[in-house]
Amino acid sequence: MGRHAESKIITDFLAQIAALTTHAKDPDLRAEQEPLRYLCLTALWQLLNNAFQNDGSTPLSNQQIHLLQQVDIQVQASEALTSTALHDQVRQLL
Amino acid sequence: MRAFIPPTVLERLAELSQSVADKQSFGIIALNKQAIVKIFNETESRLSGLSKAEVMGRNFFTEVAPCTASRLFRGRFRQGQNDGALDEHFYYTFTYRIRPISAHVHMLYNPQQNPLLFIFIDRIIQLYEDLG
Repeated sequence: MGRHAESKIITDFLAQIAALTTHAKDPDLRAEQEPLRYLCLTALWQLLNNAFQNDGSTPLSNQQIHLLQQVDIQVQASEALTSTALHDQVRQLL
Repeated sequence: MRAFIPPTVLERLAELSQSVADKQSFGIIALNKQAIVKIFNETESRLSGLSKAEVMGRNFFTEVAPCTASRLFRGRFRQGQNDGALDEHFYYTFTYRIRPISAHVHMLYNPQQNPLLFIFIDRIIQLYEDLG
């Protein structure tokens, strides 16, 4: 799979995760979805960062940096809607 | 990778204190076995934008630089603790909520000389970067 296709899959995934959370009409459902979104996005960021940094033989490419930043923008948005206790728990977990 | 640490620093690790570290032109961070920051030099403070007060006494991987809680960076730290020694070079690109920057990282742990694990950081200035 080419890097372009890989990036598109990730950006589509981000859009889908956002839709599953923000488009929920039931406020209780939204409240339950947001922490799951935060966990999912944070894990995705770590997953990509691990893969891109690899064995440290070369720095990241601009495309890889851009993709990590795109995910982090979503993480920050979710962070603003979730508790610091959750952030601490997720950091310890990952 | 080009070595950037002067032999006078490498050969006298036992004497590498906060004041000695502050005189160096590259980043120096020293962690204890629990990954708590014990030394954070002036250069690293200036280039990272983090004050010593924000960093000293905190867990490096979970509280200071979560983007280093990775297989490569934290993995090497753990490897050093398990093996009882470490002398590794690698590139790392910091992207987490800062202007992205790549660096040559030299991680050194020699408990016979110093109980702290040292992280030496030499930032790479990318030629295509707009410096204007």
